[in-house]
Amino acid sequence: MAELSADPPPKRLHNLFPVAETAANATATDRISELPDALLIQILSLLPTKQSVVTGSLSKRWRPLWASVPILDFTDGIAGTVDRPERNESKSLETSGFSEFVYAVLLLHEARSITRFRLRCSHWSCSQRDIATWLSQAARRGVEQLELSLSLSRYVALPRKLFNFETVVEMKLDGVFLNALAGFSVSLPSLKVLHVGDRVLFGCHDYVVKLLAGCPVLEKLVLESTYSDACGGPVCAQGMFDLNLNRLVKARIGFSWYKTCTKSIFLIINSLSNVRCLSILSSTVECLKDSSASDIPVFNNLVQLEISFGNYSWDLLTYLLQHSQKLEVLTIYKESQKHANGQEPAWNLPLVVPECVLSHLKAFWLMEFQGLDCEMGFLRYVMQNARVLETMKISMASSLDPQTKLQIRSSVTALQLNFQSCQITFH
Amino acid sequence: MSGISDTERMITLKTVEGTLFDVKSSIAKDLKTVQAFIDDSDDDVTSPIPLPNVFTRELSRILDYLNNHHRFRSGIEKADEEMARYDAEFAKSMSHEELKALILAANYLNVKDLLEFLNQTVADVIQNKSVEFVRNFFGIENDYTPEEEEKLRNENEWAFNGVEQD
Repeated sequence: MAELSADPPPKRLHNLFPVAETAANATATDRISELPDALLIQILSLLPTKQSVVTGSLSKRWRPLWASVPILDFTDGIAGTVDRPERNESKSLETSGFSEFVYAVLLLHEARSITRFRLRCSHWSCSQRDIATWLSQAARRGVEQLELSLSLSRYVALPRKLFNFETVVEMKLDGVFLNALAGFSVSLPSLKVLHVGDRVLFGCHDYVVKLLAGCPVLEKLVLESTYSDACGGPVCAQGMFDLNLNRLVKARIGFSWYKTCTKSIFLIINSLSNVRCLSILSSTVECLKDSSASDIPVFNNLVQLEISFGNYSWDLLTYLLQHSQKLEVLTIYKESQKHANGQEPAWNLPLVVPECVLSHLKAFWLMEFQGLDCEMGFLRYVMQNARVLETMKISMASSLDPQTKLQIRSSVTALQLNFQSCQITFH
Repeated sequence: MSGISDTERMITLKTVEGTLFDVKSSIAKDLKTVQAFIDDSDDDVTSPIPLPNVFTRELSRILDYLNNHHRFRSGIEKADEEMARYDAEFAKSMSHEELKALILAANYLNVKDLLEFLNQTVADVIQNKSVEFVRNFFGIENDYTPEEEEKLRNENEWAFNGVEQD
């Protein structure tokens, strides 16, 4: 039987409208069953499928509701956890029943179309064939958002269906091997958002190019994986692809490669040339640092750039600034990097002040500032030349002692007095 | 009346207890049930619109939420953090009883964004809880026989792992 809540009503209303308040207390719990099925289904769609199935036990009215939830979210509970051999047996026990559960749900589920399908599992709970079957089912029901998170401790050949998927609009992949891409073509005609997580093994960067070449309407791309396992093999640099991502608006790139994959990588970097927002992580910057200006494309629409690097990529930064005339927001994440023998990190003054610095740069954020000469040099350069700068934010590395921090602050403030009307904040 | 722009026009709403609330028409637009009433009326709505299913406490909360969200959306970029903080406080400030009452009111008034937020709040409350807890929360009468319930549990055994015991 439904219980009344023990919570006391708010005092002020209790005094003014005692009758109405008690009525509200009594009826909310009774009336909550008036909520239409559609609303209850919406609430269930916010729960993992495992839990929404349990609600079938609440009452006969609730029994069919979970089967109408247009979202399937399966997790075996241990995907993504660290491999520990001694726990193998307990993991098998924990996950036994998972694949039967998924099959049962897929059989009994009644919604004609599924908008979101998420599968997170490890190799203890399901087989390669299970995964292929389930993805096939998802494709059959017109899934638009797909998330797949497996474990790298066992090779799973991703099915062709996953990469020839008409309806998918957003796809997120993690803990997977992309080698299977060698065997078939890619067609993802509706894909607007692609997120390749940091636990993905490419096999070869040609496969990434192949994947991107099959996404003509891609708008947002995240490539985070720093694994570069089998690059340099016989497949590399053999593919001939035309990468045209002219709808791409936002990209975040963080992988690395060997010299043999240079062709593929520059194909990828060049395909990013239309973006408005670009974020380049340090692993990619490290590989690009020796490139020449002509290797870097012109970014006609780039308005926001985020870049993280150590000490030896200042030239790359210069090329990026020179090639991004409309840049308005620049964020630099400095990383501490050991001094390479015989190489002094240096900021080299460009011959001509980049257009964006002169007339477009409005915000400049420098994070983990270490007070190095090259950093101060760049900072000074920006402050002297950025005519429309509105805000500047500097966050100092925690390794700096308070004395150094004060020195930096006073140098920057002195520069501000002479050159800048922008607002500067320190962290 | 001509000359008054749409955003300045005020609508009056009347709750069950008879309390009157003056609401800007731009806010009233988010109360889709109210907006439908206004759209269906031939003349300008001047007298208070009665809301027979909505209590003062709930309407006050709903208007508070809408006013704040309108403020966050119209301001500068930084508002995302502020909005998240406001939402968290808003959810925390309510007992389960008040949450249920608010969902009923938001559902009746058809306030889409607030309903989505409240749905998430309810999902967070019932996540991983026992079957009995969820029954109490929703005021559900268990109409299964013990045998039927046992059968269901066995069919979906794996799903019941990790659910709080009653």
